[in-house]
Amino acid sequence: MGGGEPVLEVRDLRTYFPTMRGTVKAVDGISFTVLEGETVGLVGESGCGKSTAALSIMRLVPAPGRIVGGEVLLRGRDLLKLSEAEMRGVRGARIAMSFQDPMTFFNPVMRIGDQIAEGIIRHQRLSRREAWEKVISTLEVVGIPSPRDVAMSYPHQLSGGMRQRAMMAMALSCHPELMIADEPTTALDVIIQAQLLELMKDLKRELGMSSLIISHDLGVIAELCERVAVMYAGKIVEYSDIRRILREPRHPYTVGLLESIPRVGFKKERLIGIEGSVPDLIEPPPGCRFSPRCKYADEKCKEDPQLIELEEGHYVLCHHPVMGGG
Amino acid sequence: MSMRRYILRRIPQLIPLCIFAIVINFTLMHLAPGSPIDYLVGGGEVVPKEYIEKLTREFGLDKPLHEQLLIYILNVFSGNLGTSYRYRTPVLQVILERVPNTLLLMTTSIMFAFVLGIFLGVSSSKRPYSLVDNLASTISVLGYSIPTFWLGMLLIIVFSVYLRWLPTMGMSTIGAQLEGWEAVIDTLRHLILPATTLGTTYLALYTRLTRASMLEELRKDYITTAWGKGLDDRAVYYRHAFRNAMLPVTTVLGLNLGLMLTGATLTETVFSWPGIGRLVYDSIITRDYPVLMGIFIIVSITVVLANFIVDILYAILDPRVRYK
Repeated sequence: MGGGEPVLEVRDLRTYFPTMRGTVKAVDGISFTVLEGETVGLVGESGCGKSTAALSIMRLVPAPGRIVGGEVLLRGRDLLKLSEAEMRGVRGARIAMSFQDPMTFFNPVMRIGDQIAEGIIRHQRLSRREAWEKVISTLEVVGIPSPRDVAMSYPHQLSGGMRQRAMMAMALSCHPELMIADEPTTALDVIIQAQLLELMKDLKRELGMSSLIISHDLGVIAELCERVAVMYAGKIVEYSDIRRILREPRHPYTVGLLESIPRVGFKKERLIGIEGSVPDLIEPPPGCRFSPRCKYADEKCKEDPQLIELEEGHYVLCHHPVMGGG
Repeated sequence: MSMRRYILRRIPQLIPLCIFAIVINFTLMHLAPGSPIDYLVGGGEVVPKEYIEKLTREFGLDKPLHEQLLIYILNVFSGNLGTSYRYRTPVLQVILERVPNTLLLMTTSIMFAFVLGIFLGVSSSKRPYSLVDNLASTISVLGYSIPTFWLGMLLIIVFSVYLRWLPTMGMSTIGAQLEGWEAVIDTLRHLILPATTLGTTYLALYTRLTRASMLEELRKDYITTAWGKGLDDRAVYYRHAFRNAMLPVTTVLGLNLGLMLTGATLTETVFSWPGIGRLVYDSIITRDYPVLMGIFIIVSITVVLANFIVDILYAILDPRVRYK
């Protein structure tokens, strides 16, 4: 697992949105690495900046948002320094992204097959017929039972699960070095969700692809990822391998996140949520952004915390890391 | 469901719509004050009562209204729209003589406006609030707010009176006896000014509509997906956003095409273009009611047909309509 060369290195990435009220620092200096064959999770509440982080890697931040600093290295090459034309050669071919709601992220008036074939034709310079053959085989890979019918369908004719699979197929179609999956299971009901997680695990085993999974659901992340970065209010607050995070979370926010997952079989255990809500990203609280919601917060937390390595490969952005697990 | 079945299923819905339009037209016309007989006899005091009664009987105006309506509908369905009071010829003939002229003027201006408007609208949407966009917006707003008759006269003054490049009125040079290509070129020269005048209004409409519609589509999620595939501007704008953005534009195009046969009364009057619009104007002045009613019926049917065609276009453009 992991241990190979880094495929993606994100260093001090910052993406800001100017608004009438001030600058929203949606992504504020995050760093993480995805190694060859590794699956890394980016987890956090909605609005914490995880989707913006993904779009920043693809350089698809919607206006007026702008990447204001940092580096996104794909096998050592900074994507932020590429021309737009060069970047177009990266998107879909070397980094592909699947989006959370395949109903709105597919073009409603184009056949699924054409939408997948488009990228293949663009990057592999195949004829339409050859591309369609690839579409069919890719749809088979993601476990679609009648790929020809699905390829001929329009998005609204498919079920949610099928659409998500087709979305996966679209991302996989050009054999990218890195796949980014934004909330791959969120729009689905539990059974389909479980099927899709199985599929993603299979794909990971078979293709050995590096991927970045973005989710608010630690359960999904735990199923798929070797390492996880916990994001809060635009910053990564804890970063480690998944087992350590699950067994001994050190950041109070991660602890809260774990405690708010309902567990089947634990009778009448009261769910402990996190008090308060995500802070305003225009005027974030001074120092540690989690401090207003943190039960361990004191005066020291008014100063900016530094990312500290507690043990090898386990980083925490906190003045008072929790000891002895959640 | 196949396209053919969709179309076949829609056709029966058109017939009641047409009958309804005829009933409304007929009723409105008879609600209007005054009797056609008054205009026929010239409204003089000395006309013998017997003559008025004879005429009333002849035109069937003595029968109860619902009977008249039934007779009129039956006549319409057998292609008989009555006789023009002014020209003393069948209404259908009077109208059909004008149809090609109006179609020529309207198709030219709408197509010119549609093609150029879409081009300007898409260009504007690529960079909103840029120089190109602001320029296109200014032209559109101006074009839309300038009264047609005023623009027409202005163009006549500049291009016909001062520059003497183009003719001022009509469809052909009177007494020129041109044939073949010369006649075509002569008509085109006559067409330029009225088509520009009329097209300017439509141009503004299509530019604004295309721009707004494109901007809305470009904000949608599937556009992010399209960029995410590494597609270039052309593919994203034209293959993805454009086709979706065309749905509302097509609706308006259909409505415009439906009203195409009404002609453009103002433009046709300013340029003395012998089309339906001009005929409407003349028929109102001379109280030629059968002609007016005939025009209304033909227009109603065209509107119904145009809407039908728009629905089919919609089904072609948007699979969600087709498969419902």
